[in-house]
Amino acid sequence: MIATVEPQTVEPQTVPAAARPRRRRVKRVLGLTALALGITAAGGYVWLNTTADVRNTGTPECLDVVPTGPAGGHAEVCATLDALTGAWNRGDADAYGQIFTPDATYTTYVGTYYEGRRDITEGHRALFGGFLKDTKLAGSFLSIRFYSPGTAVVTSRGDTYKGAPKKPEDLSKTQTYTMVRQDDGGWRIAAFHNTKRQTVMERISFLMAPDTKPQAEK
Amino acid sequence: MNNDSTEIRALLDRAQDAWNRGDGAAYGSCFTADATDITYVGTVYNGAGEIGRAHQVLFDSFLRGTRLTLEIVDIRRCGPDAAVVVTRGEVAKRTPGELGKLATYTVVRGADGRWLIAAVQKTKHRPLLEAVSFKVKPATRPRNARTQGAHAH
Repeated sequence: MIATVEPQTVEPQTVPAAARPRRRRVKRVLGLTALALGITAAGGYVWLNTTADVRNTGTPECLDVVPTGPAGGHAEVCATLDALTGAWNRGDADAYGQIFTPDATYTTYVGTYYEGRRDITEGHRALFGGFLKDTKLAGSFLSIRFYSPGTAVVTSRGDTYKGAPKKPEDLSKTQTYTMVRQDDGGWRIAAFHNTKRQTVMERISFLMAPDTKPQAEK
Repeated sequence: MNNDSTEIRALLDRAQDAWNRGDGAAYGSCFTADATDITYVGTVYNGAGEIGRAHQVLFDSFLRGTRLTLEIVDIRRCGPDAAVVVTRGEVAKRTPGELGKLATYTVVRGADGRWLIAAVQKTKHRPLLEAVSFKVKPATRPRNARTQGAHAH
């Protein structure tokens, strides 16, 4: 019994003096490695992000776009899109909703899906009074294509802003509008779809598989 | 009307089938010559040719071995020769849990009577961001619960 309390039995639990600095060195090297990796990753992210600008920034003025397909309706389509921006900038949900067909669909960049004018109007009333309060809409058009005298597809880049309007190269989202002519000759939006550009993911794709880059971005 | 809906469904089936076979050319042939395909990453592809070529590269790299699952949420005619189709879908190697990507297709019927995709755009659903919005501003929640958050069967 007494023999087990001898100093030798305690000794293995203490760290030999020589091991302490070694452990400290290992800790320091590991810490520095983690820090270096972190800085590299953050730097890489920033680099990928800042070099991911789009080349095809589009045409800021709707009327300056050269439409394709059956002629007619260009001015009316632009007037509708102008009215859309106007309603947004005033935060006028009712006027905003009127620009859509009664059965229109609306997909936000978050992936929220509104179905029908009423849903779009009430959803935007809440947004204009909350997250989108006092924001304005900036846009730049990529294409206006007519598929029949009464059907058009418009693609654009766009964003919301407060204060100074965003420049075309700073628009973070891309949109597709499907537009239809109404009996009174005016045009309404039948479908709207918004997507936020995932700049870093896109840049990685273009770097690893260069042929995934669209011609307009080369 | 019914016939046309069948033809539109057949067009999306053909695009889905081309995807699942990893056949970029067949996928591209589902689009009009001036079509746009805006991916959930936000990349804009222009024209059937470019859409087909780019997807072949994707099928051979990032999308190798994946399958496209699609569920039609809404199919709606806009005049005699155009329609809008909204789908929830997912791209995965196995059966996906949630159909987390929304797509809006604009399909048009050409002079030859064939339906083609004139535009498609996709968005990845972000449930967390959306939940914050619904919590802070409950009225931002869409009313039509039927079409919200469909899951794969």
